[in-house]
Amino acid sequence: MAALLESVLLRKVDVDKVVDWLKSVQEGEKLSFSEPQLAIQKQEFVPFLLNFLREQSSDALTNGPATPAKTPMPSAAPPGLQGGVLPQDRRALSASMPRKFASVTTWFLPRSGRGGPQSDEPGGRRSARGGGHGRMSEQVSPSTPAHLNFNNLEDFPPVGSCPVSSGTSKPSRRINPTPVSADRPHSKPKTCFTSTPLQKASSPPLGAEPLEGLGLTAKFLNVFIFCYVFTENLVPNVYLELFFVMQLLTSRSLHTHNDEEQLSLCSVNSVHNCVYFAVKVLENQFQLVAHLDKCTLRLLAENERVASFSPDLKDRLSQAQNRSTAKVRHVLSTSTFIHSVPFQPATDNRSNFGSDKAFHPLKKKRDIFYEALREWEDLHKEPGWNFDAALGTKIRGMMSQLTSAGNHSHFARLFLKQLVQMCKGPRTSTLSVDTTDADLLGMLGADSLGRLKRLEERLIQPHRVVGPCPPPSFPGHQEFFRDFIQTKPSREIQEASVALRSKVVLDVCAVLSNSVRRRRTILTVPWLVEFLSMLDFIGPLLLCYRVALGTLLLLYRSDSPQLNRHEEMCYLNKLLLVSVLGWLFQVKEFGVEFGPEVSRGSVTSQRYRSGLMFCLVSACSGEFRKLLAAFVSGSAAKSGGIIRKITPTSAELKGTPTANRSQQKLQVDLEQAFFHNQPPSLRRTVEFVAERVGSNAVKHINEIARSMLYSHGWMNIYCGSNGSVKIECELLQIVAFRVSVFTSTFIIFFF
Amino acid sequence: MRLSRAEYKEIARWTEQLRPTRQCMKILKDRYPHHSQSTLLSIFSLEYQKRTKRTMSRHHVPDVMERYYQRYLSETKVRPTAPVLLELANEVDLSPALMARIILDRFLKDMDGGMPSKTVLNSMLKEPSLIQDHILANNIYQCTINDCCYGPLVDCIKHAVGQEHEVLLRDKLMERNLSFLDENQLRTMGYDKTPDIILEVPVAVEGHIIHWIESKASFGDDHSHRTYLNEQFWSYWNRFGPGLVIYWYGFIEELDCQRDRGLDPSMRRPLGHHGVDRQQWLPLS
Repeated sequence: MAALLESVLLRKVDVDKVVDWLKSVQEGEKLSFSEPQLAIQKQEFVPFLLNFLREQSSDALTNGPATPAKTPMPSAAPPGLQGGVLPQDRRALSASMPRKFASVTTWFLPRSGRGGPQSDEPGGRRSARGGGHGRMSEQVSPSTPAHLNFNNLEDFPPVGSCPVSSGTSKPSRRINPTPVSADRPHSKPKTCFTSTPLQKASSPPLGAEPLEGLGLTAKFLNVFIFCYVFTENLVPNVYLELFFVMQLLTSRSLHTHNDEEQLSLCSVNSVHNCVYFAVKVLENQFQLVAHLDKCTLRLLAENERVASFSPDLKDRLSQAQNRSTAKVRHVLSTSTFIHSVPFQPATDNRSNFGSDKAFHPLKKKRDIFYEALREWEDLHKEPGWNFDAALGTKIRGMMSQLTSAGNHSHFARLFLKQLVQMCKGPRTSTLSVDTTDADLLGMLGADSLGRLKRLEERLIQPHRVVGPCPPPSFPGHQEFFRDFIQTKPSREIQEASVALRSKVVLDVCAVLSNSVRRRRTILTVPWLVEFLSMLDFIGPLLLCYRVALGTLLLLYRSDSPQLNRHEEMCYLNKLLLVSVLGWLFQVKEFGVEFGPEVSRGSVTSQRYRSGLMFCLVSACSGEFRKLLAAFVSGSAAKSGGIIRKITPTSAELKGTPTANRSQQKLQVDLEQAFFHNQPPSLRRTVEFVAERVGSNAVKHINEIARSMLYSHGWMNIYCGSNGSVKIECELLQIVAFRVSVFTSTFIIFFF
Repeated sequence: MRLSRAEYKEIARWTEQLRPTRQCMKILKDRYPHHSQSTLLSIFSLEYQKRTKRTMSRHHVPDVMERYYQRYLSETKVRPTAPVLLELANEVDLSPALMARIILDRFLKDMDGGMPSKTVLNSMLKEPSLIQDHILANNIYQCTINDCCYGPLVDCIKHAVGQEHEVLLRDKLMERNLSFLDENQLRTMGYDKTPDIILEVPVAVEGHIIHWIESKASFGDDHSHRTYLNEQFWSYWNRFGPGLVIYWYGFIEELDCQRDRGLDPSMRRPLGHHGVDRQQWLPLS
């Protein structure tokens, strides 16, 4: 395919032909073109192209994390490759190409099927696992050894080395992956997807001979744009690519260009070209871009480069800004209350235990469990704090005392209830709510606190762009429960967990196939993706997860190409699915076979209008905004432009006086506190009674209202001016409703 | 009544020279006329217990105890009606009630030849007339009634005062028409940990929601509060959520900061003295 690209660049192949070929939906279709007598498979071309673009733009991209050229290679080496890329062809192209080839990751490849010897070779890249950087940058030779081995120094000599003399090539010149994200010490098997095959240090002058002097004209750039855009549907993660485009848009060159570099092969390696490319892509992908949130759109519209390269795009962005309904979700814990699992005499008192001997130890367990939880809360953010070192002994000691099965089940129930209680709420990720917050929360209410928090964050946190694919995590208290379980308290627990593994706790396959059948994937897939992203590295090897992952993969591939062809809501649905799945496959490496493509029917027909889409998109949008804002802060500083928009929160709240508000909040809290310590059935009963009494009250008041209307002789007016009386009636109904709300509040106190 | 930690420390330092006697309590009261007597007595009691824990090992040595006993025997021979044991306790700076126990224990060993049972010992301390030696019985009795920190009489008073305050608390709750379960009800329902009161409908106290109330007829200092937290309050919190503790004789005001725990805000001041200003006298002086 290097040859294809070359041919396109050399105008030996018609661009339209390539584009048509990429657009076509037939499976495994190969493109044959005369000149070098090649046949190329589509799946190979896309990764190659994406890698190529990143390679070419690496010099200009100094902003933000490198976006990975994470594009999968098909598992089976296509025959076309075998015949196509002959040594002379390879030599004929930029030497970087095979190198990038080798860096293509294999999330579709079963681990066993990698043809493995790469790490045994002297020059082979070693697995990057656990090194603090992404597995995505693991260098893997695709497929079977019978085919080309890209790590083979003979076949793919290092850049700049003489391709013929294999003996002289030094393994040390192979490019090793560079760790990019270093601050993720915990989740080794999971990888933050911010690493990339882009290695600036390793980029030799790209003046690879064959294409030198071609001089990239706008025409050629267009080729890339077209290819890029039309293959958009084939990229693994649309947001990742969009992020890449934004990076291009805001790129700056670190070093001064000398003439030599200007002359080199560069599709996108000068800032001008980068921006041109980015703007063209944004124009072309406007439908997608228009669904970004308001702030991102504003930043894009105000971007001086967009304005100067395409005033039309600027206008369209400005218009889209007004239409945009997407909102960036700010992750903020609104619940600062830790509620313990209430003691319920019905299930927890002495009569539920066989003997005092069984009853009393559990009493202690509960206290130790909460003690551990409190200690974790207080200390886990301290540097150097280690769960196992601090709490391991305590937990193991506690669990070892749980001898009888009855005790186990009681403790397990407590553990589970506490887990659900703490983790079901809004996700608490990076923001911890300290005690000051809780004070403020009481004073201002959660909304205002959220705004204050964001303001604080803007003012004190360094601007850090982490990339559009955040790693999966166990946010907030989930971390405590995970670590607790991982403490491997006792042999029994370990054995039990092994036994559990062989059983399917949650039948993901059934859930998934059921949702596909009922055409509700849009509801199921997002949470399933979150669930699967938390699998440890053994999980995907189990049959049930393998099957589920395979199905998701098929879903992903069958949904992908439909992005542009559906009406608005359907489009958003698909975008959501493609995004979450893209994220999943990006951040996790699953050894799932990339099976044959399923028929490209739409699997999601249900219309789903919700903030979910925007929540997801917002994770990316936040990163887009950071990138764009960082650019503005650099370029607009001279003109004194506003860098960040900050809306101050006034201490005085609109409308209700503070005292009143806190009083209301207290009432709500009291009600919650009451129900918290009662069996759930009580709440249901109260709600039922309140509803009944409320509706009867409304009925009753309606009667009174009607009789009042009659007695006041308003009947006449009713005959005359229909509308005004209707309004009166409605007003009375509102009053009645208010009364009913009061009634229900009273009922709660009757209990 | 809330005291700052500094104030508390000053009082504690001053009490170091005092003995647990009626006279000393009078001196303490005159020294701090603005504080209630029960608060002062409670503080003294806490500090005296700490002091005893520190010094008890000095007295609990066989040689030393034998010396005390021999001294008691020889002095009662000379002055059979004098409060020999009480004077001895004051002289060696030991609580009179504890001195009485040591001597009685030694006496019973002589009588029966073996180790006296704890039940017998305790019943004799409670009821000195059971002791056959009348001189010893008198001495033990003098020790018991002249000790305001240790001994069966003090235990009895403390228990009664505790009960009284629980009743007081229940009355106040009923006065306000609050629905609650008391300790006895909870016990019959099989609760594993029982605060004095569980509110069936939680209420807010100064903006903090509370589910339970524990009544402590004592002063809340750092040490006792910490002990209560570990043995009781956290257990209550683990089962019923945030609650309230009443220290009827006041507490160190810095105590009510549980802010560093990062808990439910209503848990932050659960352990304070809530609007109960009745001054309770501990009838020992």
